[in-house]
Amino acid sequence: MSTELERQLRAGFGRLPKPTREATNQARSAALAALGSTHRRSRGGLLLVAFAVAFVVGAGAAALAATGNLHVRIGAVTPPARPFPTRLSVPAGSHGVAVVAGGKLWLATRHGLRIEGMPVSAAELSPRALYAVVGIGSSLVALAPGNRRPWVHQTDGRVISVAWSPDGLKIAYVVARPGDDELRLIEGDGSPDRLLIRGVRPVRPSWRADSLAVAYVDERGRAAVFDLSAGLRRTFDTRRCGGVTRAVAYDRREPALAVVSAHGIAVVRRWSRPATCAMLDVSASPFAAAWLQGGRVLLAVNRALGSSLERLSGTSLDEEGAASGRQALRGLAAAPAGSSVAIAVRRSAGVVDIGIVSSLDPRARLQLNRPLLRIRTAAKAVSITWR
Amino acid sequence: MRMRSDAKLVELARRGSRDAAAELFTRHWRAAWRAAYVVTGRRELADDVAQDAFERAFAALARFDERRPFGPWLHRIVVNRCLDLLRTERRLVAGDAGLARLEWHDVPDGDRELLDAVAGLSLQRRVVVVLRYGLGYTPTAIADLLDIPTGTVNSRLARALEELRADYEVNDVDRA
Repeated sequence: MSTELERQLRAGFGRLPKPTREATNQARSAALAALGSTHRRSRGGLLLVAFAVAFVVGAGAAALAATGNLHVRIGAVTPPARPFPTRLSVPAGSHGVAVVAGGKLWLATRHGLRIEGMPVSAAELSPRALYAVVGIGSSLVALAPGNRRPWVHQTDGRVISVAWSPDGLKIAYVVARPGDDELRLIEGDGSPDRLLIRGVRPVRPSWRADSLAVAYVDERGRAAVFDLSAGLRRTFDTRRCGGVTRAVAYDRREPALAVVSAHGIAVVRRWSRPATCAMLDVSASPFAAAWLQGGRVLLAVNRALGSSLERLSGTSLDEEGAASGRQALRGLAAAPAGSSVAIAVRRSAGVVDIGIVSSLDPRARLQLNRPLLRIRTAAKAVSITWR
Repeated sequence: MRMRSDAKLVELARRGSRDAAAELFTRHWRAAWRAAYVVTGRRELADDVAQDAFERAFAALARFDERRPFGPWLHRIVVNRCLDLLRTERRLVAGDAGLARLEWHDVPDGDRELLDAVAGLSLQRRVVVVLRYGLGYTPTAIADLLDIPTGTVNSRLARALEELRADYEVNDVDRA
């Protein structure tokens, strides 16, 4: 017999809130993308196709054999293509790599930390990949292998993006708040957290090489830098250089800031001097930049018919070459020494390949020289950290 | 228009029908999400878990046994993902009660304490309570879904209700 408590439980569960429309739409897209490779032809259809293929091949082979033009050899002549890895491995000479796509994290470090497909909202490795900091719901959590102490910090909203300072002592992160997203700062050991800026866009912050300033995108779509030593905030309006800012990236060696806008790129070296600006053609949609050795900038660009990695001079922004491909780019990260880059590229509907492009020669075809991971995701943006 | 059965939608989705898969999603999304919401206690985690469960279910549709119903199979994935996530979280932040904070912001006031009491149950008991009273499964179906004996389900349910009754009645006294 049903008790009063059981009745209350049923009624209470029946009045639970609904998932948001945003969450529903995102889940539907991801689920349908996952469906992609499960399609199976009916057995009858397969038999029909197999019969037709066998008939055509058999008839053709008989004709060719009769004329002496066909030589049959049993066994594989060419080795099968190496399968793309589904487990992330640490690239040689680096400390670790982390990939966030579609709300999931894949991570591998040389020190033994490994995560595969963990639901997170954002993630970043510490400079030597001894720690990882991840956003899980409304918490910022530091993970570490072995006996290093993990910590958790409650935030007032979902953590959208995280950036660990080059000296390893500070973490800047963007947290979603109703109306105004916030840029906040927390020490690397999880102690005091403070608000830097209220009203920022959900773009990954970027640290200056000396760890004393952090770049972000303000609510009006301008690139901005918060100087921690002086407590100063400076902004750079990219509307005159390609429109709203999409990404910011500090050079790991110099105080040079690359600002990627909707149709262009700028490099800010001194706030007292005009920035160098380069506009792209109207079909180009740049979305990320990475600094390479020798002060060069690599710009990731998607177009209606393909994509390209464009290598530019870090001072004049003159184009020094571009590697192009047919598939859309989803993410970009420079190697720790800036000698190569890791990219995420759409392979097919719902499938993204992540790998290293080591050949950045001008006019080269864009290809993954070292595959790192293949994941199933419908995500349009893939965040990569390479330490 | 006649409603197509889950089995028919699964069959069509396996053949590549995105419309059928979308209908399957629409039919089961809310219940899956709500189950994840009660077990995890947080909207963000419910979003992640329910999405992840659907992705896994659709990716594995080719291996799904067509003779079995789709709903329980999906709910089994939801529950397992919730347990995995909460156990991982607990392991990562052992001893920290911070992550146990629950967010019933958008729940009617009258239900908040009841859900708090449910959230106070152990994971194993919480799951059977959600499956029984949230999703309406019988103890036998829950046993099948969780791969445990029916007696264990009944025992977990009885103890959970006992615990809830004590907790909730104490709250009632407090409220009075």
